[in-house]
Amino acid sequence: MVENRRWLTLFSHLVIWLGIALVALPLWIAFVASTHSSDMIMSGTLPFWPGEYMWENYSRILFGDAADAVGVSVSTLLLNSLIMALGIAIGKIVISMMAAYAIVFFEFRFRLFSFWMIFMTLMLPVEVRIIPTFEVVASLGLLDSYTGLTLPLIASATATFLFRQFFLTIPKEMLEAARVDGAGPIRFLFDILLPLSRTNIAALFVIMFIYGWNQYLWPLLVTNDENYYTVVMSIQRMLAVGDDEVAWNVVMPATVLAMLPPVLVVVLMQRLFVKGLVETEK
Amino acid sequence: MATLNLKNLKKTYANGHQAIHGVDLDVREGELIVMVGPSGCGKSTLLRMIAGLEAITEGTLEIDQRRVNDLEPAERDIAMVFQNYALYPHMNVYNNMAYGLKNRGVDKAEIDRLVRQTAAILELDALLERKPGQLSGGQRQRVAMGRAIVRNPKVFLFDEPLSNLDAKLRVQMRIEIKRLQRKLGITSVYVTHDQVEAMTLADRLVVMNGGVAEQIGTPMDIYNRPQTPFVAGFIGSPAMNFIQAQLHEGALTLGDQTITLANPPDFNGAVVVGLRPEHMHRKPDYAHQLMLHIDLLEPLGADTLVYGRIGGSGDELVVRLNREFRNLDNQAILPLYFDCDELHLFCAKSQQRIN
Repeated sequence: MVENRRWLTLFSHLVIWLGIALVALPLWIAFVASTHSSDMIMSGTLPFWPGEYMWENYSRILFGDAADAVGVSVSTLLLNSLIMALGIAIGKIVISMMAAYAIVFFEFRFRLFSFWMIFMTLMLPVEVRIIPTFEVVASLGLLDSYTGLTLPLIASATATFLFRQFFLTIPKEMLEAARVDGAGPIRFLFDILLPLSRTNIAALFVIMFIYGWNQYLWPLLVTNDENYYTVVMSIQRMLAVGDDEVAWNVVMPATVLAMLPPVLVVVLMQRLFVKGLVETEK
Repeated sequence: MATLNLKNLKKTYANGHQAIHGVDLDVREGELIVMVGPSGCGKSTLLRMIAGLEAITEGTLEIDQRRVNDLEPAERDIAMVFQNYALYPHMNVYNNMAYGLKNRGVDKAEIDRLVRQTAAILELDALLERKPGQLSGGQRQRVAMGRAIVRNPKVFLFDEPLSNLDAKLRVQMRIEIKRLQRKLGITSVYVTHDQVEAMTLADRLVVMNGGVAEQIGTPMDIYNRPQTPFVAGFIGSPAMNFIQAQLHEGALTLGDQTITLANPPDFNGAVVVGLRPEHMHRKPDYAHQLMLHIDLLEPLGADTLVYGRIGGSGDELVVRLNREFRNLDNQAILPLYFDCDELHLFCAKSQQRIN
């Protein structure tokens, strides 16, 4: 706003603080709950300030079994999630970049057709094709494996589309100059295209890592072995205790820990991420 | 040093459009050939065919007597300077220049020596660590040249390299390119739509029109004896005047005046007469006279352009007179004198030169 009105400023600040409180309060409550004993939480009134059980709660789930329903420690779950999220993020970037490279820079039959085929799958969420995909994964014997967790989710229309749009902005002459300089298709990809896509890759990595980390339905379907459980789906298992009391002193620290890696990725890659979304470096 | 031979080169696109209708050209060692023409005349396509960026449909292309039709650009040992420079934005100047050598497997010490030597020639020494984004237009242009020179190619190709620069820099770079090309003695093909650039740079000029080389010759040859009205109108500024006329037994009828030619060609019928604006004079030292009805004056400083028409003909004429002519007394009709050796006669039907 150009105008400098006192009340307007005050009002807009108020709205901002309200928004922050709305978003941050549940997180704060989750954190506070993770630092109290089970009895304290079950008593009905949750204190507003952290309690003394923080160390105990966290070390218990990190080093011991998370819960009766989940026979492994949360550190194993976190590791599984990490492998899955990294696998999906890196796999998506590699596959989409190569697909976009082929579609933009090579002349071949059905080029446009392949692009539209990829583009159309944008409209289909994972859940729509989840039954046939499960069937395929099961027949291939990939249940309870990292391959089964990551591979079916690796193809990405969104990332392919983003890379395509970026590649289209690279002047044709750049490719020709590289050809004259003796760079073949592979060299062009690695020496020119890859460094130029750096910020795009970072942005996609952040988005795709979070996408992979937050997968819930798919790991729930393809894992029976506790050693392959991911942290997000396990939280649901911890809650599904039937008539028993929910062990909030276990669920809450697990939730807080499950939130940390995506936050870390965003914070660490924020600069590149924003750059990749708003800026094209040419 | 290399020769470059184009033998009946043709290009037809997949959609059936024929862009190049058979061009023959023999470029001598160390020669600078300029291809000039209006946009869409096929000059850039032809250059890209020589570079190997565009497939050759028919004909033979030879570099140093070796057929290179089916070779990749890198295997033809050519270097190209692009209109938008096409520098790699993420590499510094040094790496931009070294990239082609690296791909060729030249060893590091040799690359370093060549890059530094080339940078010295182009006065880029101080800029080697900069990225293209930190350079001015003229500097980028020089880096693009450096990238081409450093490999010491057999043939240099320039695709309108100066059209992204401002007018002053363009003149400066034009001179620099010419000096460099002379010094290095590398066979070069240069594409431009700017006829001043074409005239000043070329050893020989190729005037292209509609996918055909209309005329090939030295700049002065083409200026003095253009073979077609197209070439005549394209080279020279302001453009040559054309007057529809009749030629009969050596007598040329222009509007309501008739001129008897000293050396008449053996031709009777409709002709197009070309007369350059700078070849009409106010002093009566020349054999023939022409009355110009003045429309408009355009003083350019050194010269004044006079627009008008001759009686009995609708064709508009431009005359370049020196600045002293200011038409203070509002003369409506100006007598102008010319030599009939300066007349260019073209057959109106075949569009070919007849004198």
